[in-house]
Amino acid sequence: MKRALKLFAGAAFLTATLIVAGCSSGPSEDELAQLEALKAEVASLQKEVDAKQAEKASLQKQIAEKQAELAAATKEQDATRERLKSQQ
Amino acid sequence: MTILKESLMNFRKLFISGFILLLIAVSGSSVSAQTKMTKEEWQKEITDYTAQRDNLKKTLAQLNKDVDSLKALLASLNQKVDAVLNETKTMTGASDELRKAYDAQLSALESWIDQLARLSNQDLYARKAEIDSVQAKLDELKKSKLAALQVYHDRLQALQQKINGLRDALAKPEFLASLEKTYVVGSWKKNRDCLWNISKKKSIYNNPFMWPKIWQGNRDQIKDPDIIRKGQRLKIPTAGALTDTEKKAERKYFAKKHASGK
Repeated sequence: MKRALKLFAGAAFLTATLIVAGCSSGPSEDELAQLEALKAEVASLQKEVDAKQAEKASLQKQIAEKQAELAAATKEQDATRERLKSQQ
Repeated sequence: MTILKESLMNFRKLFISGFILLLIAVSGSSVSAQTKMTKEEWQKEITDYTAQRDNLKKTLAQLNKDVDSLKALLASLNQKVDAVLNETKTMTGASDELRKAYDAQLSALESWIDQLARLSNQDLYARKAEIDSVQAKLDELKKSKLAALQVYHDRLQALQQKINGLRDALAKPEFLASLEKTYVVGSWKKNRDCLWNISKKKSIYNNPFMWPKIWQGNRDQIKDPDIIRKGQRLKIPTAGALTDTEKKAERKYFAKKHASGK
């Protein structure tokens, strides 16, 4: 009987130790929600940044094409001017 | 006494089993508790994500600026291109209607020359005078101020190249050789073949007076136009009016014949 009591006491001590170790202080539900909202905001901003970068790249391409078009148009204008001169 | 001992033993076994079960349950709940976030971990994540958000906001602001300035640059380039194109267009002083008319004339010449280029050698030779007509019209178009515009200049150049190509093709000996027909002389008795009769044939010139053409085209094998032999393969030159040489040869032949009194 004595031995049984000893065993019971040991078990109770061990259980209490484990419970204490498992239930150390963590963030509250509000704090967890705050973290989730922050994560969502970051994801949304990342999407916006990606879209803007794509728009920027597209604009840069269009500008390069337009610059080439302008150079060609100017060259064509010069050639036309020369041909008109030689016609006179 | 024995009964009491047995019941104590049973209680002990029961207790040990219960204890083991409790231990397993408690250790399980302890492990699950360990997977939950600690306050420190939460704080670290908040700090990291806040930094990320701030960086992204900065990047986005910079990108917005860049995009706006690029849009402005593109708009200004568009304006410049339009201005240069319009200025070039007005340099010739031609109205849109004139341009349309010029374009139509040029297109007509292009299809004319393309049509000639698709002809067989025989047909092309027969219509070779049309090449000169196309050239004359092309020369007229070249005089217009509109010819100075790149778009028309390129088309006029291409057209000139096609005309030159056709002229070069016509001048090649192999082209002329491809036009040449031959005729194998039959017997007088059966076919009544002489230069006059051969020339009269529908498949040859359909005109007996063209016989000097055959004679002059075969001077290497016909010395006397009155004498041709069965089996001779005669070249039949391309149809057309008699040339000066052919006319001269014909006159000489009749003069000789007249002189000999035949």
